[in-house]
Formats: sequence, C-alpha cells, structure tokens
Amino acid sequence: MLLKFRDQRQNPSEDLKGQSRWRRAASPWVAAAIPVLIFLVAVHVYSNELLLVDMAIYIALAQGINIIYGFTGYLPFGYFGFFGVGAYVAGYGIIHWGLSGPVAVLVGGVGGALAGAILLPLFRLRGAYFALTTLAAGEAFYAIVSNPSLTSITNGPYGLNLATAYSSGWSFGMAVGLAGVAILVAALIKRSRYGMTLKAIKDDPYSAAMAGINVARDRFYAWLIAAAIAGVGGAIYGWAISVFYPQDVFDVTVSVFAIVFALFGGIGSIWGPTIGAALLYAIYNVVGVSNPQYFQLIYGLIIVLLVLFAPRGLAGLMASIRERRLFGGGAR
Amino acid sequence: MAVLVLFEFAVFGGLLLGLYYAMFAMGLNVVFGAQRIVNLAHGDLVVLGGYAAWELYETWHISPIVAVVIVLPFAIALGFLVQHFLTPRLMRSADPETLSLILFFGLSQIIEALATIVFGPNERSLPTNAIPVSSLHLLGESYPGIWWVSALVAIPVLGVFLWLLYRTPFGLRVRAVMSSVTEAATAGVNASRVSGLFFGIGFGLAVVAGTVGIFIFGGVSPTAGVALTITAFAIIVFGSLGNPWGTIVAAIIFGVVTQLAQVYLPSWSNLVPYALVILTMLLRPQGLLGRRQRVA
Amino acid sequence: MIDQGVERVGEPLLAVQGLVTRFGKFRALDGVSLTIGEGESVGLVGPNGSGKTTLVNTVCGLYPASEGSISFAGVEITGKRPDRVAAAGINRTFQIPKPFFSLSVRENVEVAAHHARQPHRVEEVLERTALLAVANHTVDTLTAAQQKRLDLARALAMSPRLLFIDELAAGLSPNELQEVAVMLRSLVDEGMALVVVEHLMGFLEQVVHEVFVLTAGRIVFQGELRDALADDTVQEVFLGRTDSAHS
Repeated sequence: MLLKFRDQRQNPSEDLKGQSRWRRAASPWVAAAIPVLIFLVAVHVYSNELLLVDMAIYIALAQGINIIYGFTGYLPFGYFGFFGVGAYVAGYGIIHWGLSGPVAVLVGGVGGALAGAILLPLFRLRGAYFALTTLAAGEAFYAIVSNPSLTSITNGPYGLNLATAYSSGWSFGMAVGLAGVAILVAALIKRSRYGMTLKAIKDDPYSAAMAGINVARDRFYAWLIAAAIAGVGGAIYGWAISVFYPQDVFDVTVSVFAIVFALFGGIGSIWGPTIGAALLYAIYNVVGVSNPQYFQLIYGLIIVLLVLFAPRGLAGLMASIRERRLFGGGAR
Repeated sequence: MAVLVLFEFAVFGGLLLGLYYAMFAMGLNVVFGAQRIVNLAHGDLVVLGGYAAWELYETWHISPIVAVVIVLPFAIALGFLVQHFLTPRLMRSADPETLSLILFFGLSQIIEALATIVFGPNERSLPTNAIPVSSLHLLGESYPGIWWVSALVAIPVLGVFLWLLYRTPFGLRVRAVMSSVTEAATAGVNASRVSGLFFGIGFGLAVVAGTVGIFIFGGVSPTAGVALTITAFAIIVFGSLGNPWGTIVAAIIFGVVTQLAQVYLPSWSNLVPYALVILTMLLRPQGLLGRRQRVA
Repeated sequence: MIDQGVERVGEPLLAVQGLVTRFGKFRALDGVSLTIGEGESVGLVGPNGSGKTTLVNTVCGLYPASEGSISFAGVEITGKRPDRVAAAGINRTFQIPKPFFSLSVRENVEVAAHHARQPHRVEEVLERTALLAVANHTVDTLTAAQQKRLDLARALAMSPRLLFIDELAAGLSPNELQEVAVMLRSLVDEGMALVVVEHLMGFLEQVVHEVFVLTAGRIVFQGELRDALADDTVQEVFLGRTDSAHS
C-alpha cells in the first residue's frame, strides 16, 4: 500500500491547467508547511496560545473529515467519539502509566484508531444511516466513559486532571505538528493512486470491486487515519487544558465544527478544510466564546446556505469562478 | 415481593411512557416516510414545543393541554414551508441523502441558537401542578400523574393520525408516496404537495410531543435536542423506518426496556437508545416489522 | 460465421453447480448449474425477473450464494470477495453503467489496470473501446453509448478470461449495436469467454451461437440459439404463462 501511496497520477483531472510538474509535486508539502509556519510565527505575536492550539487541532480534524467524507464519502457525525477516546486514553496513560505528555498523545491516537476499528461494522450502512449510527456510537462512548460505575477506570463523571503533565510548549508544538501532518497526509492521499481508489469507492463500490479494489480494506485505512487524527487531536486538547470532564471532550460540537469547517472550506480540496477551519474558528473566537449562541446561529445559517447553494464550499466557488473565466460567459 | 412490585411498575410504567414515546417518535417517522429524509431537527422541534408550553403557561397561564392545540397549526405550517422551499433544491443535488441530513442538521442548529437567544441557555421546567392530575393508583402501584396524562394525550393524537393515514383519501395518497414515489406519480399523486402536508404533520407531532414532553423529560434546554433526536431515531429504526405501526410497537418496547433499565441498572439506562440504534442497524436493519428499506 | 470455439479440453472454465441465491424467502436463483468452456461465447436469456443479473452478481461475488458452488479454472470461488473474483479473471459490465464520475475516462480505466498490475494496458483498452478521443474528458460529458463502452473498458483492463455482458444493447442505435457486436466478436476471436445477457435477439445472434434460457431462477434450456427460439418450453416462458410456482 505504501508503494501505491507514492505513485503519482499521470493525469489528475482536477489539476490546474499549465501547472508545471515540480510545482504539482511540491504542493502537498507547501500546503502543510505554510500553515505550520504561520502558527510558529503567530505564537510569538499572539498571546492566547490555547486558542492557537485549538485552531490547529480543528484544522487537523477538518482534514480528517476531508479524508473520510470528502475522499471516501462517509460522513461520521460521531467523529467526536474518537476525540474523546483519544483524550481519555492519553489521560489514562499519564495518570496510571506515568507517560509523558507527548508519548501519551501518541497512545491517544492509537486509542482513537482502535475505537475506529471497533466501529468498523458500521460501514455496511449507507449515507445517512452511517452518519447517525456513528453519532449514537459516539454518545455511547460518552455514556460508558462517564458512567459512575466505571469511576475506578475513567474517573466516571468527575473528569481527569492532567496538570502534572502540563507543558505548554510541547502541547502547542504537537498541535501544530498534527495540523501539518494531517494536511500532508490528506494532500498526499489525494494525488496518489490510493486517493483515486478512494474516489472510485465513493463513486460506486460495486464497480470499484469489479475493478479489483478491496473496498472494505481500502476504506478501512482511510477510516483509521481519520480516527487516529481525531484521537491525537483529543489527546492534545485534553493535555493542553489539563482539567476536563467527559462532556468537554465527548462533545458533539467537536464533530459539528469539524464538519462545518471542512464543508465551508470545500471538502475534496486540500486548502479548503485548512482555510475553512482557520477562518471559522477565528470568527468563533471573536463572536462565539462570549456568545456561543450567536456563533451557533451563524454556522447553522452557513450550513443551510452551503447545502442549498454551495455544496462544494469555498473551494468549489473558486473553481466555478475559474471555470467561468476559462470558458467565458454563456453556454458551456 | 418488592422485586415483583418494582418489575410491575417498570413494565406498566414503561407501557404508559411507551405510548407517549410513540407520539414522540411518530413525527420523525412521518417526515422520513414523506421524503426519505431523517429530520435531524426533530429533537429541537420537540424542545420548541416544550418552550411554547412553558411560555404560554408562565406568561398567559394557559394549560399545556390547551397549548397543544395552539401550537399545532404553526408547527404544521412550518413543516409545510420547509418541505416546499428546501427539499426541491436538495433532490436535485449531487448527494441528496447526506446533504439533506446536513441541511436539517443546520436547521437544528438554527433552532437551538434561536432558542438560546430567546429563552437563555438554562433548562426550563414547569411545575407538575400545571397539569392538575395527581398520581394514580393501579394494582397497588402509584404512577406519576403526568405519565397517565401523556398517554391519554398520545392515544387520541395517534388515533387521529392513524385514522388520517388509513381512512382518508389523503392518507391513501400519503401511503402511496411512502411505498413508492414513482409509482404514486403514475397514479397521479403529486408527491410534492402530499409531502408538504405530511412534513407539516410530522413537525406538528414533534411539537405536540414537546408540550407534554416538558414534564416527561423534566424540562427543556436548547441542547437537549440531539439526544431526543437520537432516541426518536432509535425507536423508528427499531420499528422499521416508514412503518407507523412499527413505531408504536417499538416505542412501547422501548418504554418498557428503558423503565426496566432505570430500575435494575440505573446508571446505564441512558445507554438504551444508543445501544438500540447500533444493534438494530447491525443485526436487523429492516427493523421489527421488516419493511424492506435499504440502509446498507 | 462465428467460430464455435476452442475444443473443450479438460475442465470447463466456469462451473456452476446447484447455485441458490435467496433474498429473504425468495429464491432468485433456484438451483442453477451450468458450465462455460475456455473461449466459449454463450448467451443468457430469460424474461424479466428470471434471475439473469442475479446470476451474474452471484458469480462475481456481489451477492452471497445461499447454496451451491462456483468454480473458475478449477478453483472454488464461491463466497469470495468481488475483487478477488475479478483478480481471478472474471469481470462484467453493468446493466446501468457504473463509471466513476469523479474521475476522467482514462482514470476510470487506470484504476482497474493498476489493480490488475497491468498499467500499460490502459491505452490499448481505450483504443479498443474507441474512447481514446475522449480519454481526458470527465464522465458526465459522455453519451450513454460511450458510458457503456467505458464500463466495458474498465472490465477489459482487468484482462478477464470470462466476461459477462449485462444487457449492453438497450438504448443503442443500430450503428452503435454494430460496433459493439464487432468489438465483442473480436474479443471472442482472441479467446475470451463471453456470457451475453441480452433481450435483443438480433444483437445476440451476431455474437453467440448457443444460449442458456433462464426462468424463475432455473435453467430450462441449453443449446443452439435457433433451437431455443423454436423450443416449446422456451416459447411458453417468453410468450405464454408465467411459472406459477414463483409468482
């Protein structure tokens, strides 16, 4: 599979016309590096580091949604479940196994991936049913983790305190690193044979199977990657804020934001989810922290308008503008 | 002896609540039957109904039972408008099923946000004497008055709904659309107009359930919608999507199971709807009554 | 006219034995047994709902078989995943073409060619199915006939030894039908085994000699096409009463 990953497609249909070979090849790395650099500069200019950490995590989550929904066609409303599992697995690692923050975060990612593996049977379900059943699964994870009967393991409803492992520099660095890695992975997948395989699976799983694609397995890889991203994201978040309750990390808002950000920016594109997440999260911080209901109203309206008028998001709008300029006004 | 008493309580109480849940979930089933769309704003409509009951009681001292009658036409109108203006665009899009889901999710966020803006983020509840019925005794057990009342509200509401569905020409057209839009069209049924009214009925049922629900659930808050939607979804999926009788049977079973869980495994009882969705989807996706609805 | 095919030496290419496919209580395939030899071309006909597409889907692994066995080139393939079946050398076109809309025409073929480990076949297949001219176009710009050829191209890119053609003729103009018939005959001449599911007898005649007649999930006739058309049972099946056991 690794070999497939690196194969370059000879003729990607969505390529900008006339872009030279070397620029095409560099794009994934550029798409990952630029946001990373911006974050590294911003932290020296802007004092609220936690906000930057959150934004970086959301960029990563939006790319995770991009991979599983944009590329593969499965929308997991329950994405927040992996975020919460990651936070708790990392937290458990810190408290019970004495792991350091960074190591615990990676273990959290593994936890997220495992949770994804558990939910594998859900892929039998189509579209809306998959979305809603993952939502139920995410809530089920929450109900289990926060259950008073399990206090000895998860501290039940009382939350975790990870203050001993607090390290603001490291958590910021890992958050930015996660964003960079998530963007890179998404971009590399998109222009690889594997990305083409995912598109085929998304378009028609039966036809894809007859084209020799092991649909279940290839879909599973995308799911694991997305789940791991969410797991790491949750782990970093829990670590960065140090003290959290189950409802803080098993919060459906995490899924909502990730999905809305990705849709707004444009799923299927590489820069879309990055810009969508950065932009909307910035707006959230201006409007939403003090008045979350106004931000909720805003993004509710954004969702409705997007679905009705611009399902391909900002990236789609840019593409339409470019197409219209290339082909001129009038009949196509 | 006490064990048996608890068991009886759970079963009969579950039955009463089950009737309420049937009305509660039917709205979601109706919207699904009309346009194969899962209305993610369902729970929020229920919450709206609760808020309406609260507002009408606190400000104008109108009993929630009367509130039901007042809010119903607004809810039906809202449903009709939503179907009329939004769904045609949806049906023409690239991925109608998922996009509809997202759209209705957007609506739910808008409703929640407006509710928070107007009513504030805290839970609102009504005193139980807003409905003047005390607890009633049966077979040596005392059941909360509100459970009786909600069942007694649910029965005629469901009755009217089923009558509408099975004994009127409109209902016949609706059932035609529910089984197949294309076949119904060849019989001259304007699916869009039928769907619009049907949507309205779905919304109406949700809001009505909410006016009583404010007691059943102990109160309403803007964020309560998601859990309510999942619960309703669990019931209708378990009962077979699109099948009204299925919803009723499933709701009663759900009520009983939930009550039993609350008696014997209280801390795990909130897991029931989630487990129900997951197990149904994985083990018997066509639900109890097995209507062939492709979910996979 | 059409070469009767390679002499049957040893095992048949495809051997289906007592195949039953159930949907709930309904037996869409009710004990189908047949063999296809290497390089043989044969038609599969029957009224609507007789199970033709179900047979294709089951052999290809898209539906699970409830009973019976399927073996290909001596290897048991019952219950194998469809991509494994495709890798073994069986492929098919779909009644309603299922191209990958997000990909260009060339990429549609590339996906299959890559998984068959034969990336160099792409151009060859595109030329064969007369799609070279539109190779860089997106699928939504193709005509219905072109989409059908793309379906065929995707299947051919896997270098199948046995190809099921599922009702390709529907909606094609007489010219297009001619082209496709020529294309299919040339595949047969090169030694590919072909099973053509078809309603249009005129088209079928140009491609195959022998047919299986399927009704209500069972094979009721096997033999030369012209004999089939004259056979009483077959005539009843198509023109007369429906099999009451399966209504």
